[in-house]
Amino acid sequence: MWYNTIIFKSITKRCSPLMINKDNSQDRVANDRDGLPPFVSSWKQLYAVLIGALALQIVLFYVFMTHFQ
Amino acid sequence: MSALDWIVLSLTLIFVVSYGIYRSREKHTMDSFLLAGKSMPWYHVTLSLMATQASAITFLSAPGQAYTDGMRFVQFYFGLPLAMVVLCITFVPKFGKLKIFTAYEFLEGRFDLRTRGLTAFLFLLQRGLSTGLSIYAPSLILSAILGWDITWTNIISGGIVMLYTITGGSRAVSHTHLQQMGIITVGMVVAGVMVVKFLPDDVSFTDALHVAGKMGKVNLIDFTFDLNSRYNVWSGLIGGFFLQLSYFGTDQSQVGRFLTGSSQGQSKLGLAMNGLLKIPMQFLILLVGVLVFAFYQFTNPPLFFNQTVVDQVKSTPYAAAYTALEQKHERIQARKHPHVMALTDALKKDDQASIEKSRAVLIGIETQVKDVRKEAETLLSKASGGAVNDVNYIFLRFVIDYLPVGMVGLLIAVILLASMGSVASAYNSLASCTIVDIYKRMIQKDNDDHNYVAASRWATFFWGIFCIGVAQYASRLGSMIEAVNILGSLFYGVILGIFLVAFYFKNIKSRAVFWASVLGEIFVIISYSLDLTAFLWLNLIGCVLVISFAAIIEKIWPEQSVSAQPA
Repeated sequence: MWYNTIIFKSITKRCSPLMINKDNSQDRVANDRDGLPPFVSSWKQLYAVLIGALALQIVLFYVFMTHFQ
Repeated sequence: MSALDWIVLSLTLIFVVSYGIYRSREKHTMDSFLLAGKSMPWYHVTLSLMATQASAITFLSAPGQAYTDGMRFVQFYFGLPLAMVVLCITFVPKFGKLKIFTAYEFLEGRFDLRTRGLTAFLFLLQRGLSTGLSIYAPSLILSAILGWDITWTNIISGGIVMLYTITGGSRAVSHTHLQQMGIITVGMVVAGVMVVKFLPDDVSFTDALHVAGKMGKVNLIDFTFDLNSRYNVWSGLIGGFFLQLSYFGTDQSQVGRFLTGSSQGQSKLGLAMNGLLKIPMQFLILLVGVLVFAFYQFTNPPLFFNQTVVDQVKSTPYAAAYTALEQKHERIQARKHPHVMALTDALKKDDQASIEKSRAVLIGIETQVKDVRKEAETLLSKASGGAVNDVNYIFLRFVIDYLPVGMVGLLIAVILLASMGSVASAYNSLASCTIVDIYKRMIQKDNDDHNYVAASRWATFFWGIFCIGVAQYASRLGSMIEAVNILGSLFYGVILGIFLVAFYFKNIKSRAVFWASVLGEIFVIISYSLDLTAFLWLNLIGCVLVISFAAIIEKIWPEQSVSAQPA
């Protein structure tokens, strides 16, 4: 039916930029997540884990030192 | 070494070298020869970064350092995880976007060819010299064990690496790193277990740590802010951060490793995991040194751990004086034993008064031991006509004297493999920098890939010979791990300063940064020669000087950009 074709074309025309953007953003999210280990949801969280682990190691070394000294 | 040790050592080396060559058999392009075709997963990147940083020096010097100076050296690595975060956020995306081969390529786009050339030159100078030290470390072992001249052991140590680096390039380097790190981890864990096993029956692992701790060897953390203290939390976090940032971000031997990642994500995860694993690994290596110290509290250690020097001196007129010192040392050590046993008993009973009493006596005796060792060093220096130091021989001597047949071969293989890991990365990076930043950019601009791969192989060969030559002159340095880090600190701060200006100070142009780096390097060398501060701070000083000088020069002598000029 001709009006369905017009509606479809009109929707496609209106949505296509959004769809392209959505695809791009999905790609970007996929790229951002590439290499990310499963226990974190973003690179920022992984960096926080690294800094937290450093702080924890300093504390543990201090405890280790005071215990054995 | 026994026949079994030789078999273990030979098979381990043959396996690793053949595996590296086998996995990299292909027709190479420049991309595959210098960056392993950018195809490596994160765990390859992590292990490659760790194998590059952990040279034979790490496994020879660090336990010796823990034996003589305690575990405080671990603080040196506190800046590393922070540096990894900055690298992941800034360096990896920038380098990845430009699809570069070397870090210095980036500088030409941002500044000019002159700045790229200067930075590449500083890198080649620093890396060429420090790789010589990395070759020298395992050569010592072979020289001591086989009684061969160090020239030959230098040629063999550096030559084996040339074999697979020239044939397989970066891919061979990455694949051998994986095997090397596996064997190294097994070897060090076994060594640690064996030390504990050799302790007296009634002395446990924790008893050994208590004894070492009471004698000041578990000095892991020092919060004192002192610019002249070599290792404390602040020098590790601040100075160490700048050293590690410049080492991993601007030294091609490391940049070349994370650029092999199959994507930016894999490179970033590889770096992050390195940040997570490096400090525990270094802690465990130092712990082995402390356990060796504890072991020698129950067993008489040699007065001087480098037997080759001792044997030489015993054939000179100084022999009698040295023997007298040995006897004195034995007597002092013999006095120590009952107090060490009393300390372990008191620790078991938790008798604080007895613990303190034994501790005070032991520290007094340890001071006497140190004095005798110093006297022996002076005597040996006089007899051999130059400075002598046995820090790098402590762990090695323990391995040779006490580990069972077969294990000695494995531990010697661990040390050689560690050396090969870092030397291979260095050869590959020196070749990359020579070909990409100099040959391809300035001499032969429009050749085909085949020519550049051939030139890369020749460059690897040239740098191999150069580094072996440097190794010949490395014999009279103290702790080699410190020597390498001092050498790095002289250049890294300035190189990092150039990169930070490139990343974060968009208004500063090439002329300012070039002269700022020349001035900065001169200041750093003067600061070091006048001994103004502990060496770790030189990284911060170099970096800050380049940024400040560049900002000042740009202000008083601004450079007009081409686009700003009127048409």
